[in-house]
Amino acid sequence: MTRLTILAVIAGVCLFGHSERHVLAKTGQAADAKDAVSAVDPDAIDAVKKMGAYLRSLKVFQVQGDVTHDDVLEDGLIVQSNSKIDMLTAKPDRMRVEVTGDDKQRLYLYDGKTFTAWGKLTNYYATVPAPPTIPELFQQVQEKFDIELPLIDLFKWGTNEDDINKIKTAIDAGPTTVEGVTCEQYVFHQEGVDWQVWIQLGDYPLPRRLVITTLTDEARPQHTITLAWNLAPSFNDAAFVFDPPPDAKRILFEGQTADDIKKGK
Amino acid sequence: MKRSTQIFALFAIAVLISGMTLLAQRGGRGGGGGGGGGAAGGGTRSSARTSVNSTPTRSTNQGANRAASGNQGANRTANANQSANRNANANQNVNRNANVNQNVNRNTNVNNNTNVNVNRNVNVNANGGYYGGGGGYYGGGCCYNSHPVATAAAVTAAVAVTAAVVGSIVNQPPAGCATQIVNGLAYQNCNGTWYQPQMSGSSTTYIVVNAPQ
Repeated sequence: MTRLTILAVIAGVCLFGHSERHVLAKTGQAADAKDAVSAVDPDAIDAVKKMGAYLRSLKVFQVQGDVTHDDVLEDGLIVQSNSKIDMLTAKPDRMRVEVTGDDKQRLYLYDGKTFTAWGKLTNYYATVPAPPTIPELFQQVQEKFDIELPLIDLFKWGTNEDDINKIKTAIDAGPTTVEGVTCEQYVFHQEGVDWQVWIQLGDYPLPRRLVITTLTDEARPQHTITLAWNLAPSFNDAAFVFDPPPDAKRILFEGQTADDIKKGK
Repeated sequence: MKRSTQIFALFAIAVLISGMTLLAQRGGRGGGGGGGGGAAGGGTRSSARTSVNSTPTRSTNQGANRAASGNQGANRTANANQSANRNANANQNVNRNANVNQNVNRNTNVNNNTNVNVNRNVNVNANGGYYGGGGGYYGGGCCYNSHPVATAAAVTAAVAVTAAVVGSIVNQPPAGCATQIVNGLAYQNCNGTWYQPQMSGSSTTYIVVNAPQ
């Protein structure tokens, strides 16, 4: 009897050791085979589509974001920074974005005709003629001036089926809350990034939080945005027009020339 | 009695071995998680992507350019550095252009002390708010000025200011410049060298230009 019990204990210990090793092995395999395995939960894909369609239906909104952003130093250390975004949008051609970070305060204004960026700390501003729609504006300022206006995904979701097709893994992680709002959390993998989105449950499927993990650097830096929505903001047209503050001085965007200004470009 | 002692000994050994195996596994796992590591350096090699549906249009370097706000200017000054090289006026840019650091870091690991000091110096100067405010991160900040290399670099920069190359880009103009408006645009006139401020990504940088007319 005694011997049997002891043997059982020994067997148990050995088994436990074995099972842990097994788990480790599985984890390793999962990492290797991540791209090969396709585990796409259609409900998770539908949730993103539904969110995209809903975002497309919004004509006017104000959204405020708390951003946590990782940069990776040469030695692999991550430096995290925080910023706040306050965006007011009236589709198709008006937008006001304030970005407030540790060392930068930028105001971006778009009224359908011109795009202006103003740095509060320097009191410099730069202005260029702008394309007729918000998505074109996003693209143009990024390509021409390397300015990455925030929250571009809010304008991309629901516009292009190709973006959805890039998703290789999709998981419904279940219900949870973001800032007291009940959401469903979804987890995705596509080339170069893992991302998670918390979509509000109910009649207003808004993204409440977005976490993007960049996979192309082994340090895996993350970008996290937590969003608060106002679907009935009050504003007037002046909100989108730049009225230079006292002593504000005009400068150029990098790549613009003084001649461009003279020619009205 | 004898047999039970044997069994107990066997059990003890078995438990010991299992325990060691577990320990070894934990150790292995912990070690694996570390990743990265490597030589100390101050540049930013990448930045988290900020969008799911939009890939950076300016290649993978964009992340680096976006950098820790502070470093952005640093990377962009690569251009300045290039022009410096063309004009055999490399010294001018050393202090102001963090890209000098990147090159130094990559190529001359032999000279470790120089790398570290130059690097930090640039970060502090160029990105005042960010790294300066950070305090703790580049905690060695107490000693920049006292270190011979840092001091030498600073002196070089001070001398070189008078010979700024048109087209070079810095994060801040030298001290003692006057703001002048020419044709509606702001310039910094620094003893006859004209710096034009420009919105560059999410930063403001200063490009040396010919006197505006």
